[in-house]
Amino acid sequence: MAAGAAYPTGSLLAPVTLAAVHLLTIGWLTLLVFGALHQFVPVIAARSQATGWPALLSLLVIVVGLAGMEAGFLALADLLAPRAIPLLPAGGTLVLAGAALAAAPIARTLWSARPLAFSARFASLGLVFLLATLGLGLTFALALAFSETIQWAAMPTDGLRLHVLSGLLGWFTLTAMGVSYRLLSMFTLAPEERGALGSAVLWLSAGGLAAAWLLGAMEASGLAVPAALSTLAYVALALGGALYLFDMGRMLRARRRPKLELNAAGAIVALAAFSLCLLGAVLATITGRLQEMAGPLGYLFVFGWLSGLGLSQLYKIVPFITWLERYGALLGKQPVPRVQDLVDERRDRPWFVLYFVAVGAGTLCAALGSTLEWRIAIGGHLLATLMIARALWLARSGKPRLVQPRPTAIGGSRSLPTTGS
Amino acid sequence: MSDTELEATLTEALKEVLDPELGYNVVDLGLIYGIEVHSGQARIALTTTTRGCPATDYIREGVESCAASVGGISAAEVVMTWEPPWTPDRMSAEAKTHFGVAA
Repeated sequence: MAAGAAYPTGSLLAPVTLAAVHLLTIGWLTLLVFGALHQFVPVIAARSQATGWPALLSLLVIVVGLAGMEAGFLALADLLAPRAIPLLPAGGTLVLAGAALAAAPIARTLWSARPLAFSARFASLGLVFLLATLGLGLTFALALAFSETIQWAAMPTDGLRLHVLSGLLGWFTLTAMGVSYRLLSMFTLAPEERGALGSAVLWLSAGGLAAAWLLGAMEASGLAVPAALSTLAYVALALGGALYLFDMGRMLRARRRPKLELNAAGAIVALAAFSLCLLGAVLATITGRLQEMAGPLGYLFVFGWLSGLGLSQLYKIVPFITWLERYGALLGKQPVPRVQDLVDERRDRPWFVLYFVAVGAGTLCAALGSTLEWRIAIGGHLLATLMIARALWLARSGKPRLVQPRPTAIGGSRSLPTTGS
Repeated sequence: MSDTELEATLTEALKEVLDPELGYNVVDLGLIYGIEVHSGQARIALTTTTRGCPATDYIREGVESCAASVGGISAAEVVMTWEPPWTPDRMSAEAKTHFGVAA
């Protein structure tokens, strides 16, 4: 994107844009969400989960499938030979198979934990929307690859809207909502019980989205749907999103850990990005400029909200997993670092700041149509992302900042393992 | 050493075991729900800050191995419990000050 491909005010259906979008949504976000679910559905459901080889196999199948899809898109853009076009549906089939393989143990764990905890309900619904997204995506892939035999007139309009709705809002956002409720309450010591407001968030967001999707599917199939009904579904969806943001604010204000760690601070900025997207989408709809603003808003949604939340939570999850692998078995036997000692917030905070500032600037440039400034902003975005990736790499491979001293005699001096940042 | 003295020694010893995420010891966090010592055999009731915490087994094993290393303890058994659920109110005054938790 920094090199000038997939500019967000261009056509979403341009093959190069589709290649970039799917690299992001499958290669980055879907793998990220599956990784998060493999780790945290057992926490959400308070059940152990066997992942092992199905998770590894699903990762390989999805990556190979995505490579096929990318080759197919590039062939559609005349950047590869036309004979590579059938790789698009073939790759899409592999992605669907890989996703099913990854989702099966997660779904099984959730099923065994009924009645589901509040946050687990969002994750379950997210999986349903994943299936809808991939099913539609595969249909598109077939229609794009074999346009002479398979024709779907509604694909660029209603079909695309359904694909985006179920993917960005259903699979990614509903799951992110559930995981964020659980993780942020856990990490900030905030009350997890969300009461009636939480139920309203779930019903309005998931119910509104399901209704909007089903009504859209009926329209795409040529059935007449009263406009008021569709509007009502979208209003419920927007209200659900607004209530979620309000409830997260309420939860974070009630936290017992006043000092926010970098992962929680980053999540708050991501929530702010979600708020701006919601506000922007509502205003653009009212003023009839949704089509025009879809690119900038989509960029802010994918990078400010979803990726911003993902990167900030990885900043806690990666050191946590590393700690479990490296130090878990040593606990109680010898001095071990804290999870937080595996990262250096002072070193990494500027990169998170640059990340969000660059995404904000990029959104503004895209909205104003400033191409050069957009590419500069994306350059900053790329640099910040690379430096955050480096911080995650160092959390796994570097040395912890300090190891707590062990008291020389049991019951002696209070040399507690409590010092730190 | 009497059982009561051993319980006090054990409590102090368990301050070496920390909750990895919060980075504070399990005793001052209030994760130890009970310690009983009878004839050198220790029974410890332990919780975690959240049910399903991925570090649960490691914290349990850490507490068990730390307890077993205390002189006078011949065997240590750690029982996990989540009733009642842990809240920050269970922290010691020192831990509350560290985290800025209102008393």
